Amino acid sequence: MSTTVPAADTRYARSAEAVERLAAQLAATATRPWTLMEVCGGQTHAIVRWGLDQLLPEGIRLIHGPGCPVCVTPAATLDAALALARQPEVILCSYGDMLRVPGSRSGDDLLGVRAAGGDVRLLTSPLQAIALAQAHPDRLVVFLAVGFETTAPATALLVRQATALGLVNLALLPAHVRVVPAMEAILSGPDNQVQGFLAAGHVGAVMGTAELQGLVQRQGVPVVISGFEPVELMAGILRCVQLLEAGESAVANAYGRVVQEGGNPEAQQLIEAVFEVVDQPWRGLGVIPAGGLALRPAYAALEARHHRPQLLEQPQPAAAQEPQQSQEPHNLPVCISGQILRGVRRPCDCPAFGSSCTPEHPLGAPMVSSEGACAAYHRYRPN
Amino acid sequence: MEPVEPPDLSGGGDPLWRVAEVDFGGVRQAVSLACLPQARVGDQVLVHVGLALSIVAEDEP
Repeated sequence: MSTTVPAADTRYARSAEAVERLAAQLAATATRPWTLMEVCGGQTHAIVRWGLDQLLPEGIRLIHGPGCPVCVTPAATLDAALALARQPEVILCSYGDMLRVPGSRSGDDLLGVRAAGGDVRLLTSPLQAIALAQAHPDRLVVFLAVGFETTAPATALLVRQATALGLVNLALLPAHVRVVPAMEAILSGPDNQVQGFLAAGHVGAVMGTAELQGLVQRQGVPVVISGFEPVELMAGILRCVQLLEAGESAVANAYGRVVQEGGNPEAQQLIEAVFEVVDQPWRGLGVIPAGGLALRPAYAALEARHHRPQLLEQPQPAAAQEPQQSQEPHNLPVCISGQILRGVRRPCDCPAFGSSCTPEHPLGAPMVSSEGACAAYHRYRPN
Repeated sequence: MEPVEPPDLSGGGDPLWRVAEVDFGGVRQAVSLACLPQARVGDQVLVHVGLALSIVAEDEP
């Protein structure tokens, strides 16, 4: 899934001088060790790509969060997508990264189904599914809808447009997730090390600061909404360490260029109108209370399982059986992706990293996705 | 950013169908303005999976 921000002045956003100035300020600010988590996979990639973690003063540690929708989509949802894609009358579409993630059987992915003759298509926007359904009235177009609150408004808009047009051959396999409950689950984990968060700027652009304020009040940790460029990330880290040093738990917005305090009200209304909050299994993390979004009953006719009940027979209960902790039955036992997603271990701690697990032959989802932590390390720091 | 006519799908003034053409470093694509009714020609916007979500302020120095 790609987000595009016009980078009018990447000269400043990527200025080594500005980054070094912020790093010096950080070194002067930090008096003791702190552990921060950047939640979003896009931020993880930027941090590893630009080597920002190597510029931090000793004791300031970044751990990588589960903000990779491709990585946390339950195996049961992928199994449903695979089963649908094998039907000759179905056109299964999703974002590029989803096509390479294995279901519960190792090596079974949507690209493989396409190679065997299935009609699997890559979309860059959910709204493209409308034209696809209109062009193929004799086929069932199924959109595998994943993503955080950044992506949920576009899926909600697809639902509204499809409903307005009365399209009867368009269905959704929804697996949308909510980021704040996952942050709360990480803080509540027995092995939690996180003392402060860098929150994803693009989720902030939609949701604003309200949900984060609630998290801060309940958990007493600072949260800084950050951007994705090196200067923006360093400014976010500095702000978070300043709050930690001052003993303040608050929400700070270090991405004011893009994020308004109230977020985007129209996008929030779309999400609210189309989805309801549900407990949701996250691959590698288990069921997260209030961690997902399901279509409201008014839109049940758009559910893929409404169209193919025999094939999908109640994916919800099956999904709820997703392992609670880090067992990944679909992966070889050596894969530690569950622990990677919880930030407990790093990609280079994995014995398979770079040897039996590579982006070409991934064992776990974090090596597949362009937002996965393992893929980031493999691309920018292979040794 | 240049707003273009809504595609030939449904009611013209309905925000559900409002689209604009957005220039991504030379590549022009249709983007939904359903969530950003206040966007005007020339604004820089944050776009995620085909939907404009936020007007981006001018860069800080």
